[in-house]
Amino acid sequence: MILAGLGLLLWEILVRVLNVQTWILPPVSLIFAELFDKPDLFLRHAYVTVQEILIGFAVSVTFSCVMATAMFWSRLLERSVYPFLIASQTIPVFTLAPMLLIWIGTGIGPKIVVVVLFTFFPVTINLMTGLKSVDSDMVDMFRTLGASRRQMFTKLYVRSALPYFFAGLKVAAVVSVIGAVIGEWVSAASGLGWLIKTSTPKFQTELVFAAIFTLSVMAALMFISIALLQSRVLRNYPGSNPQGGTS
Amino acid sequence: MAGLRGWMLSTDPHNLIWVMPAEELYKPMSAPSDDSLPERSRQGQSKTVRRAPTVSVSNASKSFVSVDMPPVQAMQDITLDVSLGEFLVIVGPSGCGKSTLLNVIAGLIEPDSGYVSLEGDIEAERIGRVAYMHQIDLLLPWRNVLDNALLGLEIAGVPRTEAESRATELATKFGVADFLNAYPATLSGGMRQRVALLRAVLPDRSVLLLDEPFKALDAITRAELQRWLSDVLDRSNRATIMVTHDVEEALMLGDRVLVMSSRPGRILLELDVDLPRPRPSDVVRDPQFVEAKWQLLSALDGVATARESN
Repeated sequence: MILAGLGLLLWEILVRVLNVQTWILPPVSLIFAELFDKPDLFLRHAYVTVQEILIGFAVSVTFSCVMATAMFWSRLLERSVYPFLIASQTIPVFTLAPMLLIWIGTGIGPKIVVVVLFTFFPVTINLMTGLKSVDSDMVDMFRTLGASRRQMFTKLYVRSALPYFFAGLKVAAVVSVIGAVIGEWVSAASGLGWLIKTSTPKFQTELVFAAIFTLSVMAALMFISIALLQSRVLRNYPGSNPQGGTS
Repeated sequence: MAGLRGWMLSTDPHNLIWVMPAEELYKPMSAPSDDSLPERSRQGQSKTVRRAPTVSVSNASKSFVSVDMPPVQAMQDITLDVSLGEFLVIVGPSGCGKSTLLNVIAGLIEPDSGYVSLEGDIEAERIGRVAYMHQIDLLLPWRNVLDNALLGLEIAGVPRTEAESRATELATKFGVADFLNAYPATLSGGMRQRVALLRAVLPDRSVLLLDEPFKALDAITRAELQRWLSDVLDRSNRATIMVTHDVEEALMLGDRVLVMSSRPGRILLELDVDLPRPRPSDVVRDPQFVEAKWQLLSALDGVATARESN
C-alpha cells in the first residue's frame, strides 16, 4: 500500500518536474480528477465490463468443475480431452476474437466467450492437479472404512482439491479482466475496454488512464473477494494455501 | 454346521476342495488360554467346539513388480490364525513385509498366492470389514475431532445423532472428550493417534489391524499410549493384529508374538505371552518377561546376522 502510494507520488513529481505533456503521460492528480469529474461515465462502462467478467467467470468455473469431475470419473475422457485443453491455450485468443464476432455477433456473447477462454484453463488445470494430488494413504484409509468411490470423491478428493481450486480462481480472477477488455477491443459499443480503445486515438490520455485504473481496481477487488472466501472456506487447512498449480 | 467350517485349498483359490472339519485343519499354532480371555468372550464358547479363527492367513505370498527393478518378494508363505479376543503382535525389522501383510489382510492388496479368510469366509470381499490404524494418523485436517472420529460411521450410513452419541461415549473412555471440537492441527501427536484409533474402532469390526501405531511418537508418549491402549481397547469382541519393531511393546500388549524375518518376510518364531493382563510397567522386571524378551531379541538378532552375511 505504502509502496504504491510512493510510486504514484513519484509519478506525479516526475511528470511535473520533467514537464511531460499531458497527452503523453498525465500526472496522477489529473487522472483522478478525470475519474471524479465523470463518475457516471465510468460507472456506466464499468457496469458493462463487470457484467461480462462475472458472467464469463461463472460460466468458466461451472465448466471447469464439470470438466474436472467428469475427467476424475473417466480416464478415457481425461486422456481424450486433456490434450485439447492444452491446445486451447496455444491459440492466441486475440486473433480468435474477430472470428467470434462473425460467429456469435456483436452482443455480450463474444466478450463472455473471450473471458471464458482466458479463465477456464487456470481453474480446470488447478482443480485437476488438486484431484490428482490426494494422498494415497488417505485413499487407503477411506477404502478400509468401506467408502464408495462417490463417497471418496465428495469427502476426500473435493476437499483436498479445494486449496488448488482457489489458487486457480485467483489467477482466473485477474485474467478475467484482461479477457473482457480484449473482447471489447474487437467489437463493442460500451465497456471500459471500448472506452480505452476509442479514447486513445483522440489523445484523451487522462480518460485512458482513468479507465485503466478502474480496471485494475476491479481486478484487485475480484482477487481480494476470492482470497477472503478462500480464507473462510479453508480456515482449518494446514498452511491453508499451497499456492501451487499453473497459471 | 461344525462340519462346514474347514476348507482345503488347492493352488487355485477358486477351486476349493472341502476335506475335513476345521478343528483338524486349522491346528491353531497356539490358542490363548481361556483364563486370559475376558469374561465376555468366554460366554457361549464351549471347550469342545473351537471357533473358526476370525482371521486366517494361509501360505500367503506377495511380491511387487516394478518396471526397472527386479521383483521384490515382500512376504513368503505366511500362515497365521487369530481368533476373537486375541491380541497378536508381529515383530520384525523394517522392510520385512509387515505392512504388506496387514494390507493383504485388510484387502487393500491381494496376495499372489495363498489366501486370507475373515470369519471362515475366503470368497468375501475384505475391504471395508477390517478396522485399520496406520503409522500416521491420517486425520482429515478440515474436520474437527468429532467429525474425524465419525468418518467410518458416516460412510456406513449410520444416522448422525446415533453416530455422535456412540462417538462421544467412546471418546470419553479414550480420553479425547475434551477435544471433540478441536481441529487436528492443534493436537499433539499422541492425541491425534488416539483420535485415529477412535475412528478405526467406532464402526465395530471384528478385526483390528494396528500398523506400528506409535512409531511416530517420542518415547515417553509411546509408553503412555501403550498403557492407554491396553486399558481402553476392549479386546473381547475383536481379533487384533499389531505390527511393531519394538520388542518390549510387543510383550507389553500381545497374547502371542510372531517374529518375522527380513525380506522376504517369513515367520521365524512364535511365542505365547502368558503374563496376566493388564500388565503393569514393572512387568519388564518379571523373569518371564525378561526370558521372552531375550528369545525375541535373539531371534531378531539371527535375522540381523543373516542380513549382514548376505
